[in-house]
Amino acid sequence: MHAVNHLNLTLHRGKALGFVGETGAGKTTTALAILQLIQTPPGKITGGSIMFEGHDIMKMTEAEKRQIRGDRISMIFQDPMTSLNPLKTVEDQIVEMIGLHSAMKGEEARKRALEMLALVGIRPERSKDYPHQFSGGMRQRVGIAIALACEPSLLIADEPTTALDVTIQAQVMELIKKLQSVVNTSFLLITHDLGIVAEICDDVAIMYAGRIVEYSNIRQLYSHPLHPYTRGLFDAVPRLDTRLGGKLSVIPGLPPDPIDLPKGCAFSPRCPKARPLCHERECGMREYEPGHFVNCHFPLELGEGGVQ
Amino acid sequence: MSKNNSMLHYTLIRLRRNYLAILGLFVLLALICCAVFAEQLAPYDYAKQDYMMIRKAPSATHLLGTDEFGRDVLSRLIFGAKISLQVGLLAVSISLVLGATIGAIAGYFGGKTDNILMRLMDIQMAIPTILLAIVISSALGPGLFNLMIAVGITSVPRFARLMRSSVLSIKGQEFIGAARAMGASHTRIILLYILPNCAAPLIVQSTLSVANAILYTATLSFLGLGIQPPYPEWGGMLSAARPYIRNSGYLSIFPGLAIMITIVALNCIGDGLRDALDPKQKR
Amino acid sequence: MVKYIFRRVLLLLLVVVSVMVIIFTILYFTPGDPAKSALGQDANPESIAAFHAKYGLDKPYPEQLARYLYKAIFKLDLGYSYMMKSPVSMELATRIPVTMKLAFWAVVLSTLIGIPLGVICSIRQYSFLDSLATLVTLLGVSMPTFWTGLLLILAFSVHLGWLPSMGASTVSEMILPIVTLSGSSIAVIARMTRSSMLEVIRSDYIRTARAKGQKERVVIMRHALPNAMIPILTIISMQFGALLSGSIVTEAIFSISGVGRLMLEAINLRDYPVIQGGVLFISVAFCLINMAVDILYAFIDPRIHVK
Repeated sequence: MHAVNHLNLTLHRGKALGFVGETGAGKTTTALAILQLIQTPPGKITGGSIMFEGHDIMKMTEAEKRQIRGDRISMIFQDPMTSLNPLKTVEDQIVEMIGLHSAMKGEEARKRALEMLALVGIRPERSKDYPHQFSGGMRQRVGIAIALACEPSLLIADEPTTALDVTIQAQVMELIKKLQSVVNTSFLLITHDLGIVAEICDDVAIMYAGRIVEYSNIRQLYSHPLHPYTRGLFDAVPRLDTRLGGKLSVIPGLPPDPIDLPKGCAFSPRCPKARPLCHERECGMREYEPGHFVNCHFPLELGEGGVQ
Repeated sequence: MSKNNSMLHYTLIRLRRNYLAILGLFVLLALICCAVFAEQLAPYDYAKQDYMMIRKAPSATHLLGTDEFGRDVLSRLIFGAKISLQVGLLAVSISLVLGATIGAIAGYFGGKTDNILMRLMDIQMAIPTILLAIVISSALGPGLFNLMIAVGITSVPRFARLMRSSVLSIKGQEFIGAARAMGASHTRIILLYILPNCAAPLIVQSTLSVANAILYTATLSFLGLGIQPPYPEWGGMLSAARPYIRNSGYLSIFPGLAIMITIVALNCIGDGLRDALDPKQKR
Repeated sequence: MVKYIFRRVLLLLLVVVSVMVIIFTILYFTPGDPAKSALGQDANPESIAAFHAKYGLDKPYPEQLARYLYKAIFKLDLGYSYMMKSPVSMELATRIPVTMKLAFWAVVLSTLIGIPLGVICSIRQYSFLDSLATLVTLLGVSMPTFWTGLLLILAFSVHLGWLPSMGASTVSEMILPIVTLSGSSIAVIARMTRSSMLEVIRSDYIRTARAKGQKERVVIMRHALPNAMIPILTIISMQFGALLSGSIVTEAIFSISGVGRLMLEAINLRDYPVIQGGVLFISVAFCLINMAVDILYAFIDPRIHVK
């Protein structure tokens, strides 16, 4: 089965790209594909290229990929409760990363690890503690420290706050944003939260059933979404001006089973604007206005898609 | 690799395990047939001695040869299936009934009862199982029935622990509280509400325990503590074959093969059942 | 930590005493008179009475039990063998080394083969090697020890004539008994290692280690294996118990005069003190190993510390 199909994305240095979609849309799979960390078996990348700083990651040898991982591209994972090795101290887990990608050894690497912990707000006396001695939010801070320890040029965060307590989600998100600019790394944020994307990202890509359906900068996309699916996502977000007791509109139906994608545009069965052509064949990405791409035969008119 | 090809590949891999289980089931059915229709299937009487035919290698008249008394090995193996399956099933019934009862009581009532019962089980676990079977069977003396008890007692703690943990996980659920609120008695709740929900792990454990019980039976008989001659127990047959290992090696092969095939079949069925019934349980 | 170990030792003593009570009780209520086994079935009543008096067999059950426990615990006196006419502890002391030697090497062999085999199968899941190993280990756990021993004798002593089929004093004599003992343990350990590793390899922190750019070999050896180790250690300590009791079978097949053979003889002759002593030795050794492994857990896994 193909979980992710025909994906074209470009991310410029120092910029933050939001990657938005429902659960099961293939966001995490895409992130893991960039790092070439898809479990085989059962997973497999069947084709395509992943260009990073002018090189195709798909064509690299295993050793070259290892040099990219952690050093040039690193990742913050979704669930901090399970993403840290329970048998190693947090310091050791950061030191491991540093030891792999820099000349620093022993004391020096240890000092650097303490700096990283301080940077994410963990006191040095806790460096010899094990993951189970930290709360979820603190563990995610450790995860951030690991990911940024080698100052990667691309940082991927896979729903970094979903598994956390609501009260500290904002803190952790802020920390990531702050450190992203400190380290000056490109940032790929995977989330289903359009609000967070608006605050943090420069560009946004909307993903549906393993495909990008719309891609643009924040300003254009939020002021006039072109794809009916994007529009649906916005309508499903509760807003302050929503009348109390009024119903949120939801997108009817469920995301398709990736084993059994519908013919034509994957969104067509749920799309309020679908016409016969949509059920026949997919449109493919096209540039509807400068810098604003959409994968739809009949994008919403500039007026009709507007978000007030 | 094309899409269809890889899907077929993984389906086959998932089925492979169940192929084994199905194969095991067929072997077990064949063994049960042997046990039930031993009189009809066996070419000779298992106890019929023939001093003209002592330790004759396999031939057309005696497919698996004859033993030191000129008895037909194949016939003895067929009758042996009867004994092994009998002992295995009955021994496991003993451990199942005792173990499940103890586990259910411990898990259901909790507190002191639980503590005392489970400590007792822990103490029994401190004696390696086969050793305990040997001591008990030597205390009870040889014989089919005593052997079943000796082998049955050894796996009581395993069933007790399994049952207890199942009961503990089910006890807190709403429908038990509802039953209690309706005034159901403890016995009724355990038998009608809890037991059916623990069935899956118990069934899996039973299958694997039958394999163990057959192995223990053969071991005890091999040591001369189990079933006594002239009854054709597989382990006992191997024990009798030992002195002739230099000249009549085939006597040491076929009974062992019979034991191994039986155990492999039961293990395959057990593994298959576990995957089918209880995918969460650890292997 | 010290408190934890102290509590474990206390628990161990409790278990050992309970095992002694249980075994004593089972044997006490066993039908058959040891005096008749020792003196012959037609011994006259006077000599039987004298035998009973000598070994305290005429006393009531609680008194006999109390005396046995007192002597065993405080004087390390396990009684007197009816057959050998010597202290049980002496008999055991001469037999223990060979049994321990076999069990030790069997554990070493099965660990050294079982764990790597399981690890290789888990990282090459569904490969040809994995399928083959799965099949072989399935046969391994299903083969009765005594049959393995007989087959090995048949192959290596009778047919090939490479190795002796009796004794355990020289290296060549020890090979077949050790292989016999380890056979099923290798299979059990390999199966447990494989399934435990498969579970760990799928976990998030292994993905994290890979995302760091760590070498696959290091990911497996430093991150996955330690986390998979606890169930493997448990099964190894269980196997140690199985190996010690398996010595009864192995020693019978290879005519080795260790604890196992001693116990088998004692069972046939109703030499109760020897049976009690043998069971006690094996249980204590088994409990000690289990305890050592439990303490080892705390060193491997920092989470156990806290509990």
